[in-house]
Amino acid sequence: MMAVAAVFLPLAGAALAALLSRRASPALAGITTTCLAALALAASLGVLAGLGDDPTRVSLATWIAVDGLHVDWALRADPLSALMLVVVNAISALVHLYAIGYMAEDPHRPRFFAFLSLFTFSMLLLVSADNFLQLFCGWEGVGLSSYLLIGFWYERSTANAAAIKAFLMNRIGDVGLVLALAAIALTFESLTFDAVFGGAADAGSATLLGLPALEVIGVLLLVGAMGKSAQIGLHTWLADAMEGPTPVSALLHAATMVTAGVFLVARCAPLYEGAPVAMGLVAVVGAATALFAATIALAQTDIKRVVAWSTCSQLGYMFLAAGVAVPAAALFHLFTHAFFKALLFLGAGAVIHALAHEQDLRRMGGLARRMPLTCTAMVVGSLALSGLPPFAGFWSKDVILESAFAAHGPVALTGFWMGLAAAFLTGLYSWRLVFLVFAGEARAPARVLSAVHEPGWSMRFPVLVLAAAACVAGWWAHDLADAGTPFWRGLFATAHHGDVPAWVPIAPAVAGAGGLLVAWLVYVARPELGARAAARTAAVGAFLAAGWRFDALYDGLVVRTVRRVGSFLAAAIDQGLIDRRGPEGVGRAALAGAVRVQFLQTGQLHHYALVVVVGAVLFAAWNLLVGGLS
Amino acid sequence: MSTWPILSLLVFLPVAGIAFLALTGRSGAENDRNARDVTLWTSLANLALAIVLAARFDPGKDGFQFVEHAAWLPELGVAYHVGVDGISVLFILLTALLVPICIVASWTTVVERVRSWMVAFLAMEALMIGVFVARDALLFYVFFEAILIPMFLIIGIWGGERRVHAAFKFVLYTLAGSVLFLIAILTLASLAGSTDMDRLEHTPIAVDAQRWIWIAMFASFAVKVPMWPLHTWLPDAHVQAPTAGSVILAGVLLKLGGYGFIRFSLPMLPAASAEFMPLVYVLSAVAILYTSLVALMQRDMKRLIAYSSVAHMGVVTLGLFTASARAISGAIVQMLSHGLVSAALFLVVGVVYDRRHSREIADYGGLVHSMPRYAGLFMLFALAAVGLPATSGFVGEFLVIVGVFPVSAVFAACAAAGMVLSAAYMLWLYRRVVFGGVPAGPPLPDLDRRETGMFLPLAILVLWLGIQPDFVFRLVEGPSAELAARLLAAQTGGGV
Repeated sequence: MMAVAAVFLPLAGAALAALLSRRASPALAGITTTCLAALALAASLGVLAGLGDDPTRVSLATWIAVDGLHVDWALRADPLSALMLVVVNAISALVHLYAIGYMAEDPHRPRFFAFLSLFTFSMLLLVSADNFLQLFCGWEGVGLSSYLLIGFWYERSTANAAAIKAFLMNRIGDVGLVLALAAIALTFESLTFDAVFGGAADAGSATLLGLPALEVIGVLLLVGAMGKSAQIGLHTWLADAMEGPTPVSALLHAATMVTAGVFLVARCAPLYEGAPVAMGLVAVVGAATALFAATIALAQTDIKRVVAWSTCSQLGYMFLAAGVAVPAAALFHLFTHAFFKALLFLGAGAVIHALAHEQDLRRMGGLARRMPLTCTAMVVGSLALSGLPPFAGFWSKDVILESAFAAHGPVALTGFWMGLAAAFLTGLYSWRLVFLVFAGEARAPARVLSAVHEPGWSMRFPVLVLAAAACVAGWWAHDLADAGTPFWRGLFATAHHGDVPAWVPIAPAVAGAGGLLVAWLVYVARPELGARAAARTAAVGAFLAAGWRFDALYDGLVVRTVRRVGSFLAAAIDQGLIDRRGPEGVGRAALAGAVRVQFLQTGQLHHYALVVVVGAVLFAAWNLLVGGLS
Repeated sequence: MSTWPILSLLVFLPVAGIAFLALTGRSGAENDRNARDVTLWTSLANLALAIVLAARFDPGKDGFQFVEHAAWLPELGVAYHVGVDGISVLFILLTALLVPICIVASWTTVVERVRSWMVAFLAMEALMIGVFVARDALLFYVFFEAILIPMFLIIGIWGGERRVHAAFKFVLYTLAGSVLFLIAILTLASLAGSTDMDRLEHTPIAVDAQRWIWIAMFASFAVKVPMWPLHTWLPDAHVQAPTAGSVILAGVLLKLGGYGFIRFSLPMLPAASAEFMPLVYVLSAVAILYTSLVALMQRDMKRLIAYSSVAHMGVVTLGLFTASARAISGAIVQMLSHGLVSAALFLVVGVVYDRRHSREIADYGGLVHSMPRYAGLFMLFALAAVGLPATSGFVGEFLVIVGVFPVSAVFAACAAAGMVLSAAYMLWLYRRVVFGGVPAGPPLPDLDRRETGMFLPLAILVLWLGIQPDFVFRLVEGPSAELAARLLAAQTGGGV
């Protein structure tokens, strides 16, 4: 079966790479996993081509069957899962290939490729799931693999800290998701998609905790999605995740992790249709994240962090789309974003690689002549990201903002304006990056500069493919934007939005171009102007650079409190109160009591005789006076 | 049904092993080797027997199977009555699996009084299986209490520097609860005129009486589980116990409390169980949240895992007292999973303790460099403790949450919050012990074949239970549904 191959070949790759780690040469692991990833891509294209009008299902085995709750290991092929299979496997295959070159000097390559393939497999399991529980299994597998890859360089304590942070932030979201699953099981008595979505229309009147059941489920699902997709509040792990090797970032940002939340919300579109409040919340979270993350990206000095925050912001757009009832547009943006974001990360990786692991924008500059190919790629990626026609991002961002405008309603309209502002900022920060890296004078030390080179073929080829995709994917696949097209086969309800004024469709591109112009002005044409503006807003800049100080807040508010409470409970309550007053106290009291009564045991016979006599007298007296035993 | 008494064989085969051990000499290298061999083969034979039992057990049938009945004290209504249902079969399998692993774990590390050590373990095995097959309350009680003796010796003789204190604390604490349990059994017997558990289950008891009996039993089982705040004997016992002792303590002995709830409190006293459900819920939720936070702050690896056990058993008690077959079977699966995972984690600590003789987390770091195989297995068991899907830890926890959610979303959320906290303390522990730069000093050697061999079956079972737990559910579904039905009837006013 095509679907089975598309999902399980990367797992086979992971297993082989793990086995190869001891036996064969390290290079073999990379080649093996890359080939298997490519085969998986071919298989997923096969799945896409073979789609029928109705979803098909491949049942592999029973997982849990107890008390009427039946969950299988099963793969589902419908337009949504097929699209995701293709995206994930395409990006994964290219990233695997790229990593052969990028990681060529790392002695732990087999482990790296094993984890990379495991990461891919987890995401494939997630997107091809036919029920919520298997989705959750993939979901947690993604969390695990990202933990392993972010912490890949385990000697570094920053990498370890970032890995744990990512896992824990995700787990906080997972609490929401697990409770959502429990709520779904209660409301629908099933966890399979067909049964749940089929029953969604009739569940409108069901209640949970005195609230409409679908709203409760929608909000809980959103909490889960926010963790995985790094939406505002649960986003702090994403920038730190840069501690992992760059190919990991490309995979994580483009295909195998942060898109999972968007996928979840889109997959559950039938549930959200009956939950207008939860859906509005999705839009609010998305719009807020889009704008919030864009402001942070503006102030970053680490090349990878700029790109990372841009992911956060773009995911916000996808949530906004899902929140204004156009999940197809969210997935379209997911699709185009996958290509240009992977491109930007792999391009950034080439820069970092060429500059001997330098990641600070302030020590780059003037690389256009030295790395023309990488420069072109980054320019294409940035054009796509800032939504300029005819590049990929233009098509998808445009649809989202247009739909938000057309959806009317105060939430959607606010979302439109926030999204538009974010589009301007996107243009600004992405071109700031391009200009700082490639234009102006070279700020790297001469020793490093002399060694700057274009990457080798295994890194160059994926970059070229992705650049081509970033050029044409939007135009080529713009069918995806509309739920009514034959591709979607009626998977999503079509939104009935009214017409929009003529300026709305061009507004996002204009905003992006405006950002580009300002960036050019500030960083190329009149750099002294930019420097003066930066000096005057230094406090704001520091606030943005620190990510609105969310980390400091969480650290002070949560982490330290947990530790303080933990130590208090451990020392004062557990050992101090419960144990010392409880079993230990009873033990000591028993001993002390024994000491106190031991004076009775004198060992002197006449003492005992006296006690016997006194006792006998008292007994007799009591019998006589009170009437005693009878 | 069966022509040969397989259950009695399971109980008495280890006793026969003890008899064999008596034939070997007291000390000397050759005698030690013989003692090890005899014990290992005896326990492996018992494992084979347990597998035969599981294979021949018919989950489709109601009631107890392989029943044996012999008069013991007929004038008091006491009998040697044994039988198994699906739940007992699983716990027998767990016990029969962990004992040979314990023998292997202590193969080279226990060098003093080897023969006595082996006798203690075989005696433990006989008594533990005895608890799981007993269908007479007095018989149950005898097995249940007698286990304390070998465990007392294991901690007190082969334990750490404060072993005597820990051994006494363990025995006296559990014994205090057990006295009440005995009174409860005698009260029940006087009401029913028999100690036969089948009869007791079908004897209606007035709610007032149920209440007092329930409290008396609860005192005993809650200490064994252990439930908060009766848990402080556990960290001390674990820290002082030798590795194999910890494995059995965490793997099987902690399950006896939950098993007691399953066999006594829930079926015999459903009205009281329903009435005290809020108490159990609150104590369980406190156990999950409180002990997880306490675990986070531990500096001793064994203490950390001991506290995490209390948190995990909180999920178990939460599930057991929920009138839902999902929650109850989830709780049972969680008990099995915890039996495998905590046993494995104590072995994980034991491996490095054998190499460096320290349990302090701060004394380790960077083990991955010289012990990659160890790091991989440790990761697997840590993830199972965290409850990652596709490991055994997930299935039970999830079903408990699903089962509790309709009763109380707040308590379901507490159980779910435990997922975050368990990830915090396990991953932090893992990071401090396994990750980091190359440690100073001579590199610790990776797992040898003996050590790998003792981890492998546990690793396979942890994954198998996570991916294909179907055979377990077929065994526990029937009994769980019956317990849930009794509890539900009591809740909805069926009363007695």
